[in-house]
Amino acid sequence: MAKKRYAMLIDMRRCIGCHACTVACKAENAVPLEVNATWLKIIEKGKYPDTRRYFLPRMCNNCTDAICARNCPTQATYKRDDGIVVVDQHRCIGCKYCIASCPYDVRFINPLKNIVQKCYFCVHRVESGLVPACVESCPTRAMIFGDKNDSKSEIAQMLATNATEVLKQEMETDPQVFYIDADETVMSNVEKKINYRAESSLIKLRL
Amino acid sequence: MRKISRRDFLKLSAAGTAVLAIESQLNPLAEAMELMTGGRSVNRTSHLPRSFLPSTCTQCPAGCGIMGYVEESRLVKIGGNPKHINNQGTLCARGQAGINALYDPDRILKPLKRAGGRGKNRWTTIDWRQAYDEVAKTMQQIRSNPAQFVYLTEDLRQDMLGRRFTNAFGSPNAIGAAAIFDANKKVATELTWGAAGDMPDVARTKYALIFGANPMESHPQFVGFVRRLVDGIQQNQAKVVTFDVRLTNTSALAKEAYYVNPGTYSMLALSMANIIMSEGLQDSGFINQWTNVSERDLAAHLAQFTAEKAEKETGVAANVIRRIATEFARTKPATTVSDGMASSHLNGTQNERAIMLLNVITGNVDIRGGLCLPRQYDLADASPVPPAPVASSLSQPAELPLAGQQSIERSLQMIQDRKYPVGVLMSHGYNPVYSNPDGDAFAEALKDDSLIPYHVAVTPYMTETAALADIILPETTYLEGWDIEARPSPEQVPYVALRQPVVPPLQDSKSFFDIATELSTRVAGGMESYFNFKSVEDYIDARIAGISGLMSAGGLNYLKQYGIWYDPKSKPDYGAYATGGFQTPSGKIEVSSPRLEQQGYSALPNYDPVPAFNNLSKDELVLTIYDTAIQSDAKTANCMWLDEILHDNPVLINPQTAASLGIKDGDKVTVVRTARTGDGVRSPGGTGVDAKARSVQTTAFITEGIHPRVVAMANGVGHTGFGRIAQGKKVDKSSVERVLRDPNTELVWWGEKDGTGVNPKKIVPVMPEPAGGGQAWGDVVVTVGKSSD
Amino acid sequence: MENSDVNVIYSVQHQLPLVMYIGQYFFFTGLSAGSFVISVIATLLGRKEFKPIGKITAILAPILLIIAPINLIADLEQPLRFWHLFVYYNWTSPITYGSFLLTAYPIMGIIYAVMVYTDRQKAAKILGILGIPLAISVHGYTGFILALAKARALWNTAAMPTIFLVSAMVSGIGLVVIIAAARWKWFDKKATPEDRRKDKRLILQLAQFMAYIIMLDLFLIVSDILVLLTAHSDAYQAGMLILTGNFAPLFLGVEIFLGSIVPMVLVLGPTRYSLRAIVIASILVNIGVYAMRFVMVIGGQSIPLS
Ligand SMILES: Nc1nc2c(c(=O)[nH]1)N[C@H]1C(S)=C(S)[C@@H](COP(=O)(O)OP(=O)(O)OC[C@H]3O[C@@H](n4cnc5c(=O)[nH]c(N)nc54)[C@H](O)[C@@H]3O)O[C@H]1N2
Ligand SMILES: Nc1nc2c(c(=O)[nH]1)N[C@H]1C(S)=C(S)[C@@H](COP(=O)(O)OP(=O)(O)OC[C@H]3O[C@@H](n4cnc5c(=O)[nH]c(N)nc54)[C@H](O)[C@@H]3O)O[C@H]1N2
Ligand code: SF4
Ligand code: SF4
Ligand code: SF4
Ligand code: SF4
Ligand code: SF4
Ligand SMILES: [Mo]
Repeated sequence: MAKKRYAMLIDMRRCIGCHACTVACKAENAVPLEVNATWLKIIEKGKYPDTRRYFLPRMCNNCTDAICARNCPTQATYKRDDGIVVVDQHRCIGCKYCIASCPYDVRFINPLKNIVQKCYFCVHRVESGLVPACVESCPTRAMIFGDKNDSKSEIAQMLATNATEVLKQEMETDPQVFYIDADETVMSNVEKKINYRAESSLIKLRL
Repeated sequence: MRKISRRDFLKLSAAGTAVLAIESQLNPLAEAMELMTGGRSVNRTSHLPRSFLPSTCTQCPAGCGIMGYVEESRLVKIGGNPKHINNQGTLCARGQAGINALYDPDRILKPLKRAGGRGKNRWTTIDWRQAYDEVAKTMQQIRSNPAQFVYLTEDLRQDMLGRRFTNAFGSPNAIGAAAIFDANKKVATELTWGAAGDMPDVARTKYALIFGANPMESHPQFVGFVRRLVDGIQQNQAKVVTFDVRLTNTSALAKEAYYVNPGTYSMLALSMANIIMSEGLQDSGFINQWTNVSERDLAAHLAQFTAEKAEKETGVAANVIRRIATEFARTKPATTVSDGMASSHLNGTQNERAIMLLNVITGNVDIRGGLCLPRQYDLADASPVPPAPVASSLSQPAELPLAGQQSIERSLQMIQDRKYPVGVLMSHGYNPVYSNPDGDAFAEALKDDSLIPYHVAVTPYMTETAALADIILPETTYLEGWDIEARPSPEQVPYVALRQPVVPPLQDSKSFFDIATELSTRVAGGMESYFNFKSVEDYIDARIAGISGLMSAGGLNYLKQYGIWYDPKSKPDYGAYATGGFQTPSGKIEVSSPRLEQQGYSALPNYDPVPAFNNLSKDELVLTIYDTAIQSDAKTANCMWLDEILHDNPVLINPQTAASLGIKDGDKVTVVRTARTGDGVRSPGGTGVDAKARSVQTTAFITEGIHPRVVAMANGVGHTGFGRIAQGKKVDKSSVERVLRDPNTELVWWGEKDGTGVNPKKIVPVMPEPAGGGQAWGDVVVTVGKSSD
Repeated sequence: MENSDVNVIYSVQHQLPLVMYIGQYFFFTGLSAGSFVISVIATLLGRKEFKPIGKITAILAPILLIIAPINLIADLEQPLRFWHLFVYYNWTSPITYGSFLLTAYPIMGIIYAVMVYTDRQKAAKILGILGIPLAISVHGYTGFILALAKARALWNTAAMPTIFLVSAMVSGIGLVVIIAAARWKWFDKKATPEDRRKDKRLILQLAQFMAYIIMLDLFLIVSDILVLLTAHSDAYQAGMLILTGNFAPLFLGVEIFLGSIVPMVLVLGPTRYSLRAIVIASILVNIGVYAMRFVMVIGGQSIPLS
């Protein structure tokens, strides 16, 4: 059998923007306040009355070509055989170079532990035969997780039968979080006229 | 990679379906996976399985099944119960954040007695013996006049024990707050088809017309309902059309989403009904057999609601109304989804009846994929059942004969206006100062001991209401207590679920069962005989005794193990009314309601414009207070994981409107209720319709996603009590009881940065809808202007 | 929906991972590398009048390079684990080569300084020649740190190491000019007037050299920005951020105007013989380079990636 390759698929035709995944991750992985391993981006487009809202759950893409791992000076961040990119919490020195390198802004310094963390596809659950916490909680089953090299898996079938996109393809990181039917604007910040209301204070100086 | 053909895929799906006992449209693959993997959890470092207990979430009325995962007697995580028929292993954000509520750093863990004037926030810790003695003593003082005992609770339907306690004492005045929201809907449905409420069968429908509901963010059955609605859209290709005053998460998944003028649902629905009837798209067989009107009479009544008139009233184009109406009638099965907001207007009862009518004339009543009767077990109280005392003017308002239930906002106003004498007020898990309209006025009343001589708050938290108590009895949270739950089933299969302690009561907190039992023993005088159970389990046992299927499956032991029971062979019994008829006096659907007519309302569904919205001036806007997927009313603001996501509530304004008012995004603005608010309200009290607070200050959020005549603010934030987390304050670990400690409370950041919003409900006057008695939350007229300071 | 407005109604705030410690670190390594190169040039040229400058810079380089990594370690979330860098190295990470360079270079620098001070010319020259690539690498790698962080449009350019090197030269020479001028003014009184004149000329020459390097620096920066403005949208946003956005005052005002244009005018213009003007120019140059480090490190991270 082919080597395992874990991946996530988020079906935006099913996502209701409820934040259950966000909170599930906090609960499962003791992610402190201030930081998020997964979160939701919500935008509104259009002019009244032709308006529409779009969601995008965001998390580490566990990239095949993970820049974070390539740039980590201590190999604290590394890719496992099953494709999951993990951070060895005892080895990480907190140089934060991985955060600066990742094109997806999905890594963070845990303010209680002073180490860098991110979504690691709930490795501890996956190894015990469970699905990740966010996947389990999602009320509308918008998230599908599994081994995409196992053709019998739901994710392999969904990937084979649906058009999917990934974030920032041009970064050539080969992300392993796939989206079905995600809006192109919410996936990038291409629009010149973005109102960064929610992010106006996103720069948080930790001096 | 092997490509899967469509046939293989279907085969796999069929295999998956077999796993389910219940027929369902749910994605079978995912379902199988959830059943295999859900309901377990492992320790993150040791990977060892965690022990768990199933229970029920009460963070909102949906009652999802949860699993409490425990390590060394500390609750470490709340997960979903995969066996629960509503949520099937999934949970919303609020359900998972319940752990924050359990370990709220400001939770009250010992009885408190007021040490200064009411509301001065000075307390002394007392022991339970003293607390019980004092409360029992004051209750005994009104023993000869028991109706002076007033018991306020969140939802009487979920607080059987509270009613039992009040009845046993001899008072009729157990008053539930749930009526504040859905009374009009309950009355409308009750009058029309003899059952309170409805349950759209959205998993199996082909067409869902949503009126003023926002199920992707809030719904009484939230998780259980949306997962089925999304399945309906995806598996069943159901078309969803919404009518709302603002852009919502629901419109994100809807095929079509329309903005509609506030308060005009009945016009919209009636004009659609008119089109359906005039084009001959109705289900004549159903109308003739199952309603109390003739097609001809109905058509004649509906003829006045032309699409053109409707366009003028509702703002929805006539051709859209026509197209949607015919689509709705031609697509089978179809259903409407209407919720609180449709009935939260002064024409709420009619709105709800008009919306129901669409299902009735198209024969979509209680069919697979249609608008179904609510299915739930009617749980009896445990015997011996205390006799129900004679109703009082507080519990059964004479001016609301149809309601058959209460109207808490009106009851509170009667107390405030000295229309009803109170001896002892007990508030139980209910925070009217925050949740009710005109909460400031009730706060004043609570401060006045000539109005309310004694106030006992039974609550785990120092809410705005509890802060005005004489004595606080620290109750356990929902995660440490017992109850039996049977709520309307979105799967259309009734169930019984258990709430059991996932952890033992923290410190000195006690369950309401223990409190009620102990108090009734001390108050005595016969009351104690109704609380003569060996244990709370004994009491629960007595309540489920009547459900034979459950008893033969193992009764309480079964529930303790699985958390939920439903008849595994049962399928939705669509159309069961065919044998016994509807539970109305005529046995039919009373499209024409003689009971409404008797009270001077139109017998047939009608459109009565909201008086306050008549000829609004250019700067008068309608205020909508909406629920979000993150917070539940007054309940969840002490959950830091939720507050981090939603902690403030800027007022949403359309750019056109904002431009004409000279308001820019981020400006500080004042939202002022105008005198027009309350036009047409028949005030039962005497205070009229003037809430104490006239205005609130917030910031402007300019968005295209709102009707230009409407401004909107989120509900659930803006607390001035309820502990430090709810108020966005950092909590120093060392100031907290050891059992409640969590280093995260020191990281609370939003209070300093964004503030914690305001509570717009305090500027809403008490406005009971005349027929249903529910509060007309939607009828507030405001002006918005830049704040001067 | 053409020309649609986009309202981001929810997202989360992101941490700014690298703070000014890193900018400072870049600044000090730059100074060090700059001084070392000057020192080696002085040693190689072997002229007597260059000697004092060669000595100052020989001692400056290792001192600055001991200060620099202190910033780096202070920035670590787990400073006590800095030794992991050597034990668990990763050759695809520029920080790994940096760790070894940062160890090797000051050691070499100290030995070199000893040679210079003990007047062992030949050894000093050999060490100097060997040391130049090391010095260039030490500073050039800092440019690689930024350039290889693909995520950040402002950093992710092949010109980054060169820009860093050139600005390091600028600031390094600036520092040497300041120190040499101070020595000339206060500590060089015993020298003959002839030597003093020669010394002053040398300082003026150094300053002119600095001005030419500033020109090179400006050229690199302008070409970098032109490319940013015409590349993909993130890059465009990065360009606009420093041209018109929050970082414009620092970039245009401090880095370009005060830190480059004004010093060039002072050094090449009518004040070109005034030691005072030249010292002011050198101070401004260093302020400008410090600002540049700030704009690069902080500005580079302040464009939301999601
Ligand atoms: N404008 C406007 N106003 C509204 C609404 C609206 O949509 N718009 N919504 C209305 C609706 S639908 C409703 S139902 C009401 C709700 O109004 P309430 O019933 O007052 O609010 P709840 O959110 O149900 O929470 C009640 C209290 O329960 C307490 N609590 C939380 N957990 C526990 C526990 O485990 N045990 C005990 N004993 N107490 C606990 C909290 O202290 C909370 O203050 O608000 C109404 N107000
Ligand atoms: N996530 C979440 N779920 C909840 C709750 C919660 O607070 N949060 N509360 C629970 C409770 S207690 C209840 S009763 C239910 C309430 O659930 P809902 O009835 O869905 O209540 P709301 O979200 O208040 O109102 C629904 C929509 O009506 C719109 N609306 C308001 N006024 C008008 C109008 O005049 N015309 C039209 N067309 N639309 C209008 C609002 O914009 C809003 O989007 O939800 C329950 N579930
Ligand atoms: S998304 Fe970022 S953190 Fe995650 S693997 Fe890819 S590069 Fe690394
Ligand atoms: S912060 Fe930790 S994980 Fe990230 S690059 Fe540095 S050592 Fe590696
Ligand atoms: S997979 Fe696990 S770690 Fe990753 S976002 Fe989901 S819950 Fe968080
Ligand atoms: S839990 Fe599911 S539906 Fe909710 S936001 Fe996350 S992905 Fe979307
Ligand atoms: S919908 Fe959410 S809050 Fe409501 S019962 Fe279910 S999990 Fe709890
Ligand atoms: Mo409610």
